[in-house]
Amino acid sequence: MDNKNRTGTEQATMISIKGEIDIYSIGKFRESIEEKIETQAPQIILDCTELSYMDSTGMGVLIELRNKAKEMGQKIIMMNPRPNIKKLLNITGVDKIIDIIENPINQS
Amino acid sequence: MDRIRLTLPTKPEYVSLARLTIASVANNMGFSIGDVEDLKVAVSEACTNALNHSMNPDSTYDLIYTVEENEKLSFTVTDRGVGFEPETVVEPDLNGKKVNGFGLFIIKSLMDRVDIVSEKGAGTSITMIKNLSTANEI
Repeated sequence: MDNKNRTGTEQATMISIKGEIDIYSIGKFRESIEEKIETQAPQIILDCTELSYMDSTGMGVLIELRNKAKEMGQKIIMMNPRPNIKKLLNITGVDKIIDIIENPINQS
Repeated sequence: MDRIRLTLPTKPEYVSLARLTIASVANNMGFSIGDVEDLKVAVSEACTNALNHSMNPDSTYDLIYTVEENEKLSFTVTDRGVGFEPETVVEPDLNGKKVNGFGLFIIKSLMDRVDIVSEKGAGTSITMIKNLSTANEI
């Protein structure tokens, strides 16, 4: 799991999430993402193009972050999640509370 | 019918090993890419539950695959933890502060059949079955 890359503008902060998020990598993921979302930008975009695996452990953290962001008047957006991850977001209803966008330029 | 038994350490770093082995077994059986992804998630969720909720005093838990050629893959995760009552698991609240309970919900959504046997103080055994579909789904 690697989510080192971040680029930001005043409108949006972009965070790239890579690799696998599961019970093993979740601690590091939570720690690093919590630090990175400390931003004034109204939109936090999680680039999931290179996120190969995520299960309920990762989704739990995403929902917590979304709820925190909402309190701060910010919005979390997932960009380019892979079909396997999109399916999980759909069956759990998480796609109703976190926006999902496709950016064709960024798709592999 | 072939049977594979793995004894995994009760440590988070080995859950990925469960995903690797199920992907290998399911690929060999001819499951679609989408089904293999679903199987990886299901086994991972069951192992995660065994680690997070069972309070298993043992240093290991078991994962058994039963391969029924051209028919179905059945797999069971067994811990020797505190056990639980499956009917008491509440559906996750997406607006809650702490989000739990997704694991079983996801497993039931992805698998064709799920059987849970749990005894207080003795442990939990969850058996999941995925039928080999003949459709060419990706």
